[in-house]
Amino acid sequence: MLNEKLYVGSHAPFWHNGSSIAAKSHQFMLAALPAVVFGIFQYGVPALRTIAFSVAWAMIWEFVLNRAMKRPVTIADGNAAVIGLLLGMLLPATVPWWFVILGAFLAVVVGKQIYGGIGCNPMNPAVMAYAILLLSWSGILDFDEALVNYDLGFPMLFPMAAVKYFGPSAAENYTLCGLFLGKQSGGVGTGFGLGLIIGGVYLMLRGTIRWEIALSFLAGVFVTALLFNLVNPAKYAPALFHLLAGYTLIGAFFLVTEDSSSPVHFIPMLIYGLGAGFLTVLIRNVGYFVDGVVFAILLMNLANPLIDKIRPKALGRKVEHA
Amino acid sequence: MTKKPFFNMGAKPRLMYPVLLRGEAAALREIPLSARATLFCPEGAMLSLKRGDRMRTGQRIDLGANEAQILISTVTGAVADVSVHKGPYGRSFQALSLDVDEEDEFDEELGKTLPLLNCLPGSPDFGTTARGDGSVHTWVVTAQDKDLLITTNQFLLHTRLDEVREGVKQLRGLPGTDRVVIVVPPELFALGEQTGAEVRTMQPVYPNAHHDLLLREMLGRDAASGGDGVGFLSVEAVIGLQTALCKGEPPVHKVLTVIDKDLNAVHVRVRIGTPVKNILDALGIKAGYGDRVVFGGPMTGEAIYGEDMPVLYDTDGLIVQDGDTIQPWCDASCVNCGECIRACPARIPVNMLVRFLENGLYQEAANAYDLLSCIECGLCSYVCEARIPVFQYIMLGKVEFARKMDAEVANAQ
Repeated sequence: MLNEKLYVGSHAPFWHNGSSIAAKSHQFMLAALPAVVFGIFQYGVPALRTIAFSVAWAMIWEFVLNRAMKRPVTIADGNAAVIGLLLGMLLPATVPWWFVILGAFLAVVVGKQIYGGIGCNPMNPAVMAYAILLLSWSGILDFDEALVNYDLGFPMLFPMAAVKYFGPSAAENYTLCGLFLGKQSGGVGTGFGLGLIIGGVYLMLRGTIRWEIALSFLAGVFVTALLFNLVNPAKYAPALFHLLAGYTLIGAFFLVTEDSSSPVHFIPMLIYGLGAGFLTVLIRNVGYFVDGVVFAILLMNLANPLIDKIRPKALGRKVEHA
Repeated sequence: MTKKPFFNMGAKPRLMYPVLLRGEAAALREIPLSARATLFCPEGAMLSLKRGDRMRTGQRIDLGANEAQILISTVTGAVADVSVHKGPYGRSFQALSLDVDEEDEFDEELGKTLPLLNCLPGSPDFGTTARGDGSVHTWVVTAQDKDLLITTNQFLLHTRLDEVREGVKQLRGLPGTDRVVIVVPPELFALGEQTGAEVRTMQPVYPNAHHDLLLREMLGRDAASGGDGVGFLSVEAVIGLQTALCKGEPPVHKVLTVIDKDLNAVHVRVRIGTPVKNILDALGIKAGYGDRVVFGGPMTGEAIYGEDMPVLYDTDGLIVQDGDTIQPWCDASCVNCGECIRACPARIPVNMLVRFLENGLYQEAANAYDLLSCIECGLCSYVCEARIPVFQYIMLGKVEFARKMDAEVANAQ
């Protein structure tokens, strides 16, 4: 019999806690705002241009790919904007316009879309794009070359390059307080430690990022740098310097915690964070690159599926002994 | 609808069961008999009734070959229609509709028999006993309803304590019974003691009242090995048992908690088989186009399609939700945020499980990703940021897996 009163027949549960990917992306962008605004304040209009271009082109590339792959358009979930924002924060303010467009392409298309979209990427898209750009155009991404015309009232030498090429005594030029308050050169959004920490703490409290990963990354960086420094203080910079200079803080709160490429169980999260921290300092002190955060994160992303197998037994399952 | 707290550190959702204190609930409302009652026959039964056959209240309905299943007629009247009703997950039931007489004529035969236990209101759960071997040695009486918002059993504990006490005595008298335990929220401890059963308190946090978790917490046992010989009965089922054994009347009424769009709760008593339309009209609740009407609770209930759906033996609650408050599911892919894993009380790797279920790989899901460990609480879908209907995938996966297992067993013979 026909009945005009059609009820909605969806499946349980009939309540939801209101979270969504879009809400998460907005929280992310809000948390990144202090660092970005400070960076624009420091570097001026070129920084604003880089960030705006990066965000816009990330969304444009995602839109183009969605249409080309004949899939529903997903820019509304804000994930492309976040990837664009993070990439913009990592780049120096004065990169050429075509570099940003290419970077956005590498991040969104090669980093995320070809794997199937959100949730399917094995590596952090912004970090992957940065790594490809660094290996292809290391000159453009060399901070000392890019920011050569800037004089902001503090030593404009990129701190990690300083300790790598001039030894840990160069670290004396940077006071810890200065590093914390943004008196270091770097990407548009990577210099202002205080802003990054405020944003990071906000994200951790709201549950947007997993605190286990962020804190274990910082612990890994600190402990490894401390060990290196204790063994040979003449060659390796102090631990707090490593914590506050370079990409460490943005890496800890914004990059290493990317959902799809990081583990979900408790012990794997700790292993992942500690491993990434350890590799960061290893690459900085012993490796080729001045800042190891990017490659450390990528290496741990690749190890993620294996690490994530460490999980407790589910209810009702027996432990099988070989 | 509860939202995530602003500062939550990614912690597990803490949904609280409602605790009904003495004197808080309004009086029980009786819903008058409807003109037509519909009963659903268990899966696999074959009805041999035709139009015009008369049934008496309490009369056993012949279900064909399946002797273990019992269905009794809850009204007196003539058969009007026998049709097929399509239920969830592709199951179908035979629906028997009766034109109801105003006066009940009670059937004498089914008065005091034990097999009655299978058709008590409030969905009794006998663990492995239902499969026939071994008796139940521990009865767990649950005063806390399994789902949120529902307070049916607590209400009955408050208002019909004497009958519960009598019912507990009957349970102790059943052959093979060692213990009778009653599970109450801490505030109702005194009430629990008055029933004469062993009292265990349970923190009213969802989903502690689910049977697998009760087994683990109350009795220290694992469902896989320790579920044998433990039977679960709700307070309503115990009252129904007492009514049948002591007074000789078959239990044909159901008490439900009806919750309207503003989350006001009222308890009603209705004849099993009455269409929902009668309840909504009697209470003045309007459910229109685009609204959602749910049998059961907000986490594990079943949304019904029309107002002709009858009240069944396991309908503990009736919720009406306004269409504007309904949050739709999405066909997005899992983003690996890990909220579901933190929420799951059974420690299942839900993010991996849902990927296998979406692709129909039920065998692997059951073997490697713990599909069968799910206690069906619905928390994974409640927290999912990508709005994936995880619970639906899990239930479908379980049904399909069971179907395949049955087919394999049948083929092997």
